[in-house]
Amino acid sequence: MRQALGKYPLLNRHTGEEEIAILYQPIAVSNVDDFEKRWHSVMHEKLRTLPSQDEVRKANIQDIHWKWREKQQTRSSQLIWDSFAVECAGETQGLMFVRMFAVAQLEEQNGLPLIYIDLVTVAPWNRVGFTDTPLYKGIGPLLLGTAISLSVDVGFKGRVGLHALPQSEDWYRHQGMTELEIDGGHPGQLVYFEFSSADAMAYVSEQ
Amino acid sequence: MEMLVTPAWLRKKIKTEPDIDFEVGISVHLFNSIGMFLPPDVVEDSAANDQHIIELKVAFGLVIRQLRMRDGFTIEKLADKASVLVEDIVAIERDPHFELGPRAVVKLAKVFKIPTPRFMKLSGLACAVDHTVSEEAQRFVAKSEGVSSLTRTQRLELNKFVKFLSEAE
Repeated sequence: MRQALGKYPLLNRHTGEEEIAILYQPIAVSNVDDFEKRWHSVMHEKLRTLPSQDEVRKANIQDIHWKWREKQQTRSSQLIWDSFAVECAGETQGLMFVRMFAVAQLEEQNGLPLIYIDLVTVAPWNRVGFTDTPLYKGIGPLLLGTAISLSVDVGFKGRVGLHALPQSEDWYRHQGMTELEIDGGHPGQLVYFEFSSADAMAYVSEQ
Repeated sequence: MEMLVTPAWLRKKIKTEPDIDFEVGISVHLFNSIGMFLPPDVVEDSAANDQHIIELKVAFGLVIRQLRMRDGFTIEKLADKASVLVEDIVAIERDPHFELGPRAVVKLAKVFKIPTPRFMKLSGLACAVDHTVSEEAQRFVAKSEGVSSLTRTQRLELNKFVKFLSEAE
């Protein structure tokens, strides 16, 4: 059953003002509707203006192909998955899917269970690569903090792992996650990042 | 679930937050490297492209079926090895109109140890038309028939086609 986990302030970059967002668990059909009806049309409009594959890659619209409805329908009945949505100004602004169990790779916690972040995305108008004037700021830390909270909640002591898209690697480094060697076994050859329990707890405790 | 982060915490994070994207998911490089990033509906000459894609998917379904038979997998076993649904394997093998996702193609390529880029083109997901793949696929289909087990000749043809798919581009 969908529940609101809290109200959090996002920064509206255009006005410089705070706007209140609500964090929900799990992703609802209405969030998928927003992806298909709003995000998709905005990305498609942008795609038509891009002159080359190189420009397409830089525009950060890889999720134009992602099948959110199918994922939401399939995963909502599977206990191995959980999901979260960030809504602000009456629209979906961010989405996250996590896998409830994966195995930690960092030496200090190798073999221990962790929460694996499978998908994280924000509305295209919030993306730095997509537009020169991205709108809301703060969704990334909110979702990462949520994954850590979930990890603690299920007894995994904050351990979280993910494979970052190339344009996102610096962001996860900045958050203090440990970078492991490029994972040759992962489709797309992405860099793997992991929060140790100690680092994750330090991240959410920072004042 | 108890949230460990507070509004005050987020306010502080926003102040030091770099203006960088943070998406997590399947990589654009995977798509981009095989020219599939542009959705089919923005590729010119889409009607001809549609028919071409159907033909490729016929070949793809046939290859999957024959590789499965070659390696002695039931549909259920292949679905399990590739972490895809059983009904998806059935659809891939039999329905050229089935819309398969890139992750399924990547996983099947890994199971059968075929390089992903060519496999992706054969699956019809790549929008960049590769005439070499297309021609070899048509040749392969023409020499193959739907039977419950592979004849020696079919096995030879399959191996030849797999060798072509595995060659560096």
